[in-house]
Amino acid sequence: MNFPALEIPYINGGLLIAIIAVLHIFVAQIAVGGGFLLTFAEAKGHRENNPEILQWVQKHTKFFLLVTMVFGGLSGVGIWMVTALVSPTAVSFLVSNFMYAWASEWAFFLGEIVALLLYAATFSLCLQGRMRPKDHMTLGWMYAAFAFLSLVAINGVVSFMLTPGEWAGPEDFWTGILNPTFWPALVYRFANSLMLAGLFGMVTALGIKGAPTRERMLRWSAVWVVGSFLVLAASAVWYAAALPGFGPGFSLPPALQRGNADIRPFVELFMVVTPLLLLAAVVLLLVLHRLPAPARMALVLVVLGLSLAQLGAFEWVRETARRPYVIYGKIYSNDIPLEEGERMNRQGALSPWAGNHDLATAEGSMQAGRFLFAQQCGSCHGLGGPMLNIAPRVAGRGMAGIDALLAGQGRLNLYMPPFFGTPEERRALAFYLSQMFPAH
Amino acid sequence: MTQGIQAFLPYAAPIPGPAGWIEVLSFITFTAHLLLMNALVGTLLLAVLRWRSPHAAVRQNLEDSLPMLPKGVALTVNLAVPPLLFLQVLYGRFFYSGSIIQSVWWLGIMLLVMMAYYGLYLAAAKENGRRFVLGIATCLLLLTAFILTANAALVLNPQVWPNWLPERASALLLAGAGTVVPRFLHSLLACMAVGGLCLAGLATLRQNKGIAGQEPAITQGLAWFRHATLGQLAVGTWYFFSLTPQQQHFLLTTPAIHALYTFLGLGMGLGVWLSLRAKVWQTVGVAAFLVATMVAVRALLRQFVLMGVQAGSMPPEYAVPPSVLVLFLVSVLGTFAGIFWALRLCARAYSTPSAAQPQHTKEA
Repeated sequence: MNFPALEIPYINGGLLIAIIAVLHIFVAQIAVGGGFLLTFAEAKGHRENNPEILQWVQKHTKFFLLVTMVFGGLSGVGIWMVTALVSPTAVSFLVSNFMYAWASEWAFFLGEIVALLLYAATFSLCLQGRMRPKDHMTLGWMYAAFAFLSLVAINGVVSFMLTPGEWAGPEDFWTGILNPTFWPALVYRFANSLMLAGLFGMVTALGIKGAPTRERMLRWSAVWVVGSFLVLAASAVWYAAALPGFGPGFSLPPALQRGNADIRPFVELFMVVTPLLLLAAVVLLLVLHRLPAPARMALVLVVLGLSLAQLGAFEWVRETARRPYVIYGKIYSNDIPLEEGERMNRQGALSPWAGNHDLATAEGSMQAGRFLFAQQCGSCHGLGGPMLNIAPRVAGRGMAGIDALLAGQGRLNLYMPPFFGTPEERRALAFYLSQMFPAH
Repeated sequence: MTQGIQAFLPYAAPIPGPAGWIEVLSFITFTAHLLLMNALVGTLLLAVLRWRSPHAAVRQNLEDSLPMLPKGVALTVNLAVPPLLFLQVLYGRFFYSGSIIQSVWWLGIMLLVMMAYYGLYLAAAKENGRRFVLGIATCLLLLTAFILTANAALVLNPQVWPNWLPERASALLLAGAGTVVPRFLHSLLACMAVGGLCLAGLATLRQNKGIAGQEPAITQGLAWFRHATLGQLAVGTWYFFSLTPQQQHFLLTTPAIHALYTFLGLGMGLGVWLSLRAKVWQTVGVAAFLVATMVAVRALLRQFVLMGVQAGSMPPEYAVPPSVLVLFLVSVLGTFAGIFWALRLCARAYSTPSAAQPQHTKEA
């Protein structure tokens, strides 16, 4: 702890992470599934000696270069950068304990980039007969394998944050990586990757000029979507069952049953969108070929939108299921480790980064309150802004009301971390918020 | 002062030891990243500055380099990941604090590089407005380099962190302003030098293939290297005097630094001499050696400064299980073996004559 507290006007750290993370995961998972889709499609093109299929795969490859490699690669680094600003203690904890998993993921991503660049660069050589199809497809398999391995490595770290399990400390690397949700999360994400790649296959297959090939590739891509959806649905159940607190009679863990505004709507969205996605996938498979062209594109885009909503809801639920922690049972969601919180209760939360302020004065309380808000609330709540705005939660409550709210956090309200610091500091934060938001 | 600054230091997470091994990994990967970055930005700078060169070979080689630039960005960004990771493991308490103080500027890097990346793809694909797009991409990448330089200066100067306190919301970009400008110019000159060598190298490859008229590109590329390298003498001196007296004292009195400076001096002289004799590949080798030596000087200076600040509260080390090291080595060596094998596969395809019959012909 004792890092400076990030303050960006209007936007809170959680919103920054959410935007970058959801878009990155969407694109990165398309890349993972895409490696398999491209190579299987190329094999089909060679087997059937169909140049249209091969040209389609070649165009698809360019899309992967521009979207998954450029956007996916940079937004991946972006998540790391923004998370390090919002939760430096948590990121420091993860890189310290899992440095070699991260380093392995880097190596796999390097392999993925090089394999994709070579696969794209030699496609024309393959079509001209200067490279054997078998050799070219080997490059495709390399791309798929490296992308999958990078997913395996990062999945170990991300799933650890939710379910550290029996992990005992830095030397216990494998228990941490192969934590209770490692396998279900891996199967879920891989199935999702294949489904998203199939959906993108459908979008681009609609552009194939020759009708017979277009129809065949649409159905072929739809089979990817439906097949992977079934695996995805099964692994979602497996994932939920692996969470701590999953009860008999298939009752969801308490973490997912909370009524908070920032988890309940997303659990419900996931529950609604997932069967809708199945329905849409079946429609795609059975009815798509009977629809006129504009309706087809519209339907496929709707399904793509549904899959983005489903992925966003899943990732959000996964993030919020950890509350009040960012690393379950170890570091609170405001980046304060458990033992550091106890120290702050004894010695105070105002670090040198807060500056020297006299809490007996209004000005000193305002300055200290501002720091305490950034330190203990700002990683989730915004001062204004579109996500988890603190204003409606405190406006008009007055200093005493807000102080009582803060005192109940972590005791009555288990979803939130407790306030850490001395009673004077808590009152300074309450004073600051009551002055900032006097009434609705 | 150092004692006062210690109060601002966050706790340090344990290092998956030994720390020296991580320093070595950081040195290797950062050198590779810098070489690629210098080649990328240097080639881009030349493409922007020399697009009206009177020599057709210069124009042609720079134009033909354009499709390589987006790929260069992909690899440069990828190779930035390991040194950033190792930096966080070794000096996270400094790095995170400095980056939080920089806040939006630090976050902006991702967007700046992404826009430059797409710009380079666009410039390679379309001739219309190419110079304009290349100019924009160059500005975006130079701004990125400037922010990264300011970040490194901020991380290395915890003494300036308290300047942030009066207005916490303001992003502190130029807190270490004394060293930022010469440090940035030092990077810029390195880019120009390596960019010149890329031009000379490409022209030499073409000359070896029997393509005539490459001499002006070789001569000009080597001249860029030479002038930029000699320019480092002035900028390096400025950089030295912008450091704190303690840092200057460390550089002047440490035997390991003396040895590295000797290597730098000899390397610069040798590089200039080789470039005058048009020995392209030997000059490339010397340039790589110079970059690696500078990385070593930088690492030692960083170690001196930051170890001094955190004396008395050194991060603990823990022993990594051997199986984890095996995982890492197998991942890295396996990936490199795969890449090597894939490159051989492609080289074989490129050397296959293009007269071969197309495999798939559209059926009537």
